[in-house]
Amino acid sequence: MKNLPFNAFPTQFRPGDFSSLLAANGIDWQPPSPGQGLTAGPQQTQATTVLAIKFAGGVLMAGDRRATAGNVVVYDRADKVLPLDDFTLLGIAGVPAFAWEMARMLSHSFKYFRRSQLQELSLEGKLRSLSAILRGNLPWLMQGVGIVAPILASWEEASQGRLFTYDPLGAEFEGVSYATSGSGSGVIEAILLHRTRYEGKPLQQLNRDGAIALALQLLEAAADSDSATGGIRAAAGIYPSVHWIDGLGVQTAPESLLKKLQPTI
Amino acid sequence: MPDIHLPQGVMHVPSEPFRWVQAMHNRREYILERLREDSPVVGLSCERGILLFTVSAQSRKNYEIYDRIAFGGMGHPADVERIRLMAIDLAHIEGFTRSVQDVTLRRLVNFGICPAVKHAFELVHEAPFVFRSIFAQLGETSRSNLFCRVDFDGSSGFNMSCADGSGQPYCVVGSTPASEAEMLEFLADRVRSINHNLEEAVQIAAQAWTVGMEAIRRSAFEEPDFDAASLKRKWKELQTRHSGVQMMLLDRDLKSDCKCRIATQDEIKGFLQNWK
Repeated sequence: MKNLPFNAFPTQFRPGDFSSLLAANGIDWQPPSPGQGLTAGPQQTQATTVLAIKFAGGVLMAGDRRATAGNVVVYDRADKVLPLDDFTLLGIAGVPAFAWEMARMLSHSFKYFRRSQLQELSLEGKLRSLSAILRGNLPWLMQGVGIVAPILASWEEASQGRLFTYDPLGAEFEGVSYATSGSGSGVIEAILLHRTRYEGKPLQQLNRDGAIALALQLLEAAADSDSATGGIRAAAGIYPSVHWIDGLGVQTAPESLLKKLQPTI
Repeated sequence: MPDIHLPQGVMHVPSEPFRWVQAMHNRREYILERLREDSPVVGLSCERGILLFTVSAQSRKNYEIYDRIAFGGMGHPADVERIRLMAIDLAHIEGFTRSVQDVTLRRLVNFGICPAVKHAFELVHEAPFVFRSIFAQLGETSRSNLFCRVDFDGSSGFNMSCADGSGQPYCVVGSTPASEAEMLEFLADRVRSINHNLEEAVQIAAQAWTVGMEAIRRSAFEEPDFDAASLKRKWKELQTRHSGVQMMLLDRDLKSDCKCRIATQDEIKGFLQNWK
């Protein structure tokens, strides 16, 4: 632990703000700015395709498991849906090196606020926190490195859950009934748009198992047309990460449930 | 008497060391006097985890520090608040820069809190911290639950249940050394197991708290009375003057990573209803 100077305790410049606590203790959690004009950036690992949908009684978030660097599959068991606290999920699409650290920072920030200020951070506060972290990534974004475009789902008693998509600069866009991000998101968006607008099948009428089954089908559809999106590989025990939030908080779909609900052709 | 010149980095010793010792003694007396009327805090292991129990209507005394660490403090509310925030800051910095598993009570207390508190106590020209506290860490099992009391002078003491069943699965801080001694005597007699169910544990904690409060009120000529019926009567009498039961639970059964929760007043009433 940091040696404390005489008669000093770790001070906070802004009460409840974890990032300023780290800064006050000389801890730089974000990578230093790359400076001017990178001539050759590293081959970046990308992690893609996450979606979130509202269903009757909650919101569900799912993500594929593949991480790629160009045409190379780097990892097939990446977790792209991360609980930030008991009632908030973050789905990451983009560079996992940056995205996972952002998620870790947010998770710690929310807990730190709750414990130090003795009240839960509001949903608006959580949204602002994520925006600020994405904006802080701007120097790297300008170099075309470390792009992260997440989606966030949070529980609210009145609305039974809310969904937000973020662009890499931190602008947030609330989804009415779904949100999606990543290289496979175009396919998913098209299917959901058609379903909700022309087929007259509102997502909010789905029960939990129906929502999980739909999410698995959507990810399979995305995997069919996007090589950076991994599909289900039952033989290897690789299934998408599926979580949902309802009045009881964040819950995880076990593998047995995903096996039962996986699409069969 | 000339000043003593010491190598660089060593704290300067005033030319009249007796005055420094006298100042420490005066500070200790001042703090003990301030703590005299405050409500004790009882920490107790149980089957489900750990509970921190106290009674206070004016200020909150039990807090969550980290995922498996809780804190109960008595003393000046502003000083309790500073210690609380320091513990939270240290725990979160460590948890973020290393990992959640690396945040342990021993590291927090031995390398963070106690050195700073001791230093503050020894600064004769600054106001001391008026507080006493219990820190509790939830273990994987009841046997690995850990308590630590941290005092205003930076001293600390760890209690834990040992694998062979020995050890003290409880910890108290009281307003006077005599009241603490009586509470510990009561708990040593009453706590037969580290696996009391929650209801039993709450009742034992309430009784221990009553013992602590009675010890302050009672004259030096009266003997302590640990009879259950008598404690129940005294508890009810004290409740008319001291309301606001506060209970923090480190609950192993919680699904979340954060194991702290505050017991509701309905829960507490339910536990104390069948006080034997």
